[in-house]
Amino acid sequence: MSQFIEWAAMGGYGVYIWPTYGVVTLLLIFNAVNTRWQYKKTLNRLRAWFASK
Amino acid sequence: MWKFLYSLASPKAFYLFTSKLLPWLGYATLFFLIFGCGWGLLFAPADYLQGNVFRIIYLHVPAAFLSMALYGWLGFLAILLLVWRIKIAGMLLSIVARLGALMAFVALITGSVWGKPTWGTWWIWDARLTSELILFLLYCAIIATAGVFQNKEQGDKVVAILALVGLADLPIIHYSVHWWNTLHQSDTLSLFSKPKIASSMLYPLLFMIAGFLCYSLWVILMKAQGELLMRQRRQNWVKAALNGEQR
Repeated sequence: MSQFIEWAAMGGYGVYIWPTYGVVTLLLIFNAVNTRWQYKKTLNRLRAWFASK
Repeated sequence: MWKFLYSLASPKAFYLFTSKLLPWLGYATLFFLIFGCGWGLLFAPADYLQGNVFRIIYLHVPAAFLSMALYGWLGFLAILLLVWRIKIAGMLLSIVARLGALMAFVALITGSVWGKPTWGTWWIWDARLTSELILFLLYCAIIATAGVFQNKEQGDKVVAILALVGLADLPIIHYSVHWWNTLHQSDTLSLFSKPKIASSMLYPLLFMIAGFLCYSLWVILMKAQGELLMRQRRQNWVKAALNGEQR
């Protein structure tokens, strides 16, 4: 346990490293999920457009 | 090779090819990013001077590299559109610009956090930092310009011209650490010289760069597919593709 805490502390720089990794991971995941969601939305809009013709 | 690339100028061929490529890009992204992060955070040794804070390099360098590489690609797409009138190139311009802005933003944020413990400040008007900020603003200008036009194809041409003008910033960013006395360190990686970091730190960095590259391609191609289907909806192949007959 103490080894894990020591590693997570990153020599006192954990306060800089972990929030940076957290924010960037969230940004990348949000962008990927949003991209996928937009694509699905486009497919649904097109299906509705074809159905209305 | 050129014949294959030329065939991708056809919207239908582009859609069919990218449909096959996208799942593999997704798996490659997960593989490279998970292994790169794990390797960089768990097994790479701490830097002799900066200690563990150097581990921000595994986010900062890939994001900065992609922010510049994507702008280079933007320039290439602009030439494809303006000289050879390849419409897919025009469609890709604003998609690439959005992702480039995200990468430039990540590079600026991670650089700022890295700067605080190493330089003692979040921000300084250093040549490298300022030219990267200008790149981010250029991306924002391109996105804003693309959003103004109702006629998308006309908007693509204006965006292409703006992208070409902004290309001048790329050599300034790259050579800023050589031309001026900057607080920012010189390039860690170069195509034409030996890397300046130990291989135990270099390999996870290469994994992360590969991961960011696959991620970027995945996002760009996924967005391009949606935009392509929407723009080409009056073509017969789009309805067939939607029904899953050609996927």
